[in-house]
Amino acid sequence: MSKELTLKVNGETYTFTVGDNLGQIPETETLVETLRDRLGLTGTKLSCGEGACGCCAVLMDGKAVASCITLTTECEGREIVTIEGLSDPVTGKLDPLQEAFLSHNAFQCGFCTPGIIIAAKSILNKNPHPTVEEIEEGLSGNFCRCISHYQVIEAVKSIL
Amino acid sequence: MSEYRHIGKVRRRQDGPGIVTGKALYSDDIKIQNALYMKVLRSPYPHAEIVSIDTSKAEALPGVKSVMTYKNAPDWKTGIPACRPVIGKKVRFTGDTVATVAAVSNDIAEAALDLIEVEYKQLTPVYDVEDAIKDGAPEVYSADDHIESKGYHYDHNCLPPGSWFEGDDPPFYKIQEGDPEKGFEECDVVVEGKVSYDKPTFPGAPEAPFIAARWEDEGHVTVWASSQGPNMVAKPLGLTINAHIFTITPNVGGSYGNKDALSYNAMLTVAAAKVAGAPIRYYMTKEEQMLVYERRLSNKFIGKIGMTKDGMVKAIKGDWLVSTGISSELTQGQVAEGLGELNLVLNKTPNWDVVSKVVVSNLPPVGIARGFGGQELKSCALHLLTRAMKKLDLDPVEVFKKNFCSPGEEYYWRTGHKYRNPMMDYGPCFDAAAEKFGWSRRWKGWTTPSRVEGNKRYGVGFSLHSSGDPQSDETFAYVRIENDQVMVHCVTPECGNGQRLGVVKVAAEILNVPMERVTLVPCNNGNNPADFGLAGSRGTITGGAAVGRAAEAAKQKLFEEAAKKMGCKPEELDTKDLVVFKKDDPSVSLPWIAICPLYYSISGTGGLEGDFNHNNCVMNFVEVEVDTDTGLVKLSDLLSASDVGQVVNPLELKMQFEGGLGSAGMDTAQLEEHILDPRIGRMMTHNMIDYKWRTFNELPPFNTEILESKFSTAHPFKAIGIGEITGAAGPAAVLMAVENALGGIEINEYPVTPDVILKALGKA
Repeated sequence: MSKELTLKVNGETYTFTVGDNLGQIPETETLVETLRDRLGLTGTKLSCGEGACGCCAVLMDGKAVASCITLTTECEGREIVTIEGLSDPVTGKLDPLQEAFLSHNAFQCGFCTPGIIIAAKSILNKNPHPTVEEIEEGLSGNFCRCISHYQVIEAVKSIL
Repeated sequence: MSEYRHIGKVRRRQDGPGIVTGKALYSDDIKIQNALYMKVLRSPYPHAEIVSIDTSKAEALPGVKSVMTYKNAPDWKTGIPACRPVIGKKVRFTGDTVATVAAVSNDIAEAALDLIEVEYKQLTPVYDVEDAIKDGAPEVYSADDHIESKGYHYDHNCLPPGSWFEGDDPPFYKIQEGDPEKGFEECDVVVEGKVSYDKPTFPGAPEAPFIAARWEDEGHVTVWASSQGPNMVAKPLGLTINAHIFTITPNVGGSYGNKDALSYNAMLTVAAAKVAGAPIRYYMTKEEQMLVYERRLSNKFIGKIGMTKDGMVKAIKGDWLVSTGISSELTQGQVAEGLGELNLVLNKTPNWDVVSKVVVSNLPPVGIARGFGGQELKSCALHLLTRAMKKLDLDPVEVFKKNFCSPGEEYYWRTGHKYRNPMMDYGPCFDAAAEKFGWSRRWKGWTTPSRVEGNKRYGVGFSLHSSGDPQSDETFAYVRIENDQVMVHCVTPECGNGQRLGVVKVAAEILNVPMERVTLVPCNNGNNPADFGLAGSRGTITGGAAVGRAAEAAKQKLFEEAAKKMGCKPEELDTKDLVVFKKDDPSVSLPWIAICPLYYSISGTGGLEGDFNHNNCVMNFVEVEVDTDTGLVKLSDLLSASDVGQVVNPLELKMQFEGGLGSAGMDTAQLEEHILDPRIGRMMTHNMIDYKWRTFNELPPFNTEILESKFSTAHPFKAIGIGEITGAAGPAAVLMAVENALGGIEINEYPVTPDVILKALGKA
């Protein structure tokens, strides 16, 4: 009897079996692989693959984690929210953070943007009124090479 | 305030909602039916020959579909000149390709790499440019490789000079004019020395290089590429392999010049797909991107510069040693532009003898990076120049302003010919930027820090960069008007700079429609006419000009067809919001849909031939803080400035300036470097923790000064692009500021990490 794994992602419940047979989730599979390759949620980006850059950040029970160093089998029973799950699933209405990123043009190439928005959401979940220093410190695990940092800070500040 | 409807106004990028919701598709997000995954076995040695290779166990692993080694790889080569094979029997750097495995998953392909048995014969490596050109140094290539170009041959690890930039003309690899020796005699000060900007650095696009290839038939290949120029991928490789390449570039996760042609990765993947007889996708890991992908060129300048006491540079002489690793993507082209960029800044200097050498070694290959030769050369040569300014106690901003190319003056550019700056006067920008930064208040002389607070010493520095590329090379565009919408065909990728927004604005402005009515066709070379690609800040003018001219042509045809229906002359008509009307009586009107009904196209074409007569210019003012106890250098205040003719996208322009900090730009002065372990020829800084770069909690105050002098460029609204060069002068400005903070202590290398500072202070 294979072990079952129940994942809750963006409000949907998925049931998989764990194992090394074709179609099963191996113990070694990372969450980013499951999200991208099995669920088609490609908004979560794979960049460094070692938890350093923040491109793959998703919310796990409201807190940002690096999905490239999180094993899918460790996510049993957790509430996972990806960038695709931030907007309203019915109306498509954007989260205020997403709207702020749009109105402040807080991205350039946009590859690190989903991870930054998720990390910012995590900061605000923990503390709805962070100082600028707390925002900067909280986002210091998200690398942006285009240098969109200044606009990101403006965007996050705008919804405090 | 801009007098235009869209140009110069803040507008949302059309791909913005996709980016903030995760729906925007980047290369690796795209499914390609039946595509195999590729992994690469890499050399553990910096220099070796493959004695034997056995792939049988790998081939037997379930899920493995194909293995490629030097034995079955196509006989193609890339590089300038072409010298890097798909896979060679000789490996030339730690990480060079030994074999590729194509399998049904990345995991299986990776597991198969361990099953390939290779026996190597190690050879002595060489890394440093000065070592590599010595007699008796280990040779990276040999005469048997037949590396030749324009009558020049590979010799002592030096590649032949020149590239396709000069066409059939002689290579442009040196500037020799006037009489430098006589020039030095006339100078009040002559300085000599060596400055090194020679640590390998990593432009570091967040999205690693991606290529997928699918052979449609013997002569047609479809390629998906994370590139900033589909034609840069398609054209050179197409010629090499004698096939037509259809290149698709979805959203690009950063490039900074570095993911331009993707030449070797594209050749390798297309070759592997041919061998496998199946589509293949290859997304480099971050470690591969850091260890083996094309990096920024590194270099040293050993020379002599003479100046008269009025601050005019009268003579310059020197050897420019350029390290290109195992091969050149377009290093000779970077040399040509670097010489041009030095010539633009030292434009009043009559006597020159600056000669380059492009040197191969057992380091990872060099590719394209923004700054493109000039950043690297000028970080060295202009730093040497500061010694002369210091001896004469001259203000550097004044000296640079005097020596910079004025309107009407000529400068060398990448063909080796001279081009004339017809009208761009950057003098007012020097003054406005210096005023805003407070330069005269903060600059207290070469040996006096700007201020001192305990163990923190503050210094200021300045440098500038100018390129002849903003109006370069051919670009073509089509604009179609179809009932109530506008379709724009122009190869414009989106790699972060908002260039697609810029060309949509141009079409919307000229046709006087809301931007929502304009669709820019997806970026590929199948549905769009030819264009060189985004490079050298050219996209603003070239895309703007081609699309602008196509939109004007379409508008003219629209008026001609409307005039027939309205019983008037085309020149009596104007249009706004999808309605054509008579200028003298707007009540006489006809909606577009009546002129151009469903299933009807009115199209216009536009093109730009390109020239090198329109040089842009960016100035970097910096303040640094140097901790004399720890040696840590921080950028504490920045101002970047330019005259951009006309602002097109205000927010994107501001962000392009700020972007000069990253992508191995300004921060290579004090923060970024790869550190080589010479015993194994491998960079020790192969991850995102050890390779240092700027994070959110280390943001210096950043200001800009932007002038809009409405330059007569080919851009329909008189803009000039600057994106490529916003950080190029940064390293030289930072090093000047660090020396100023330390009261004039001389440092001749980059980056100024704590160990370098403490050594300079005599503390280490």
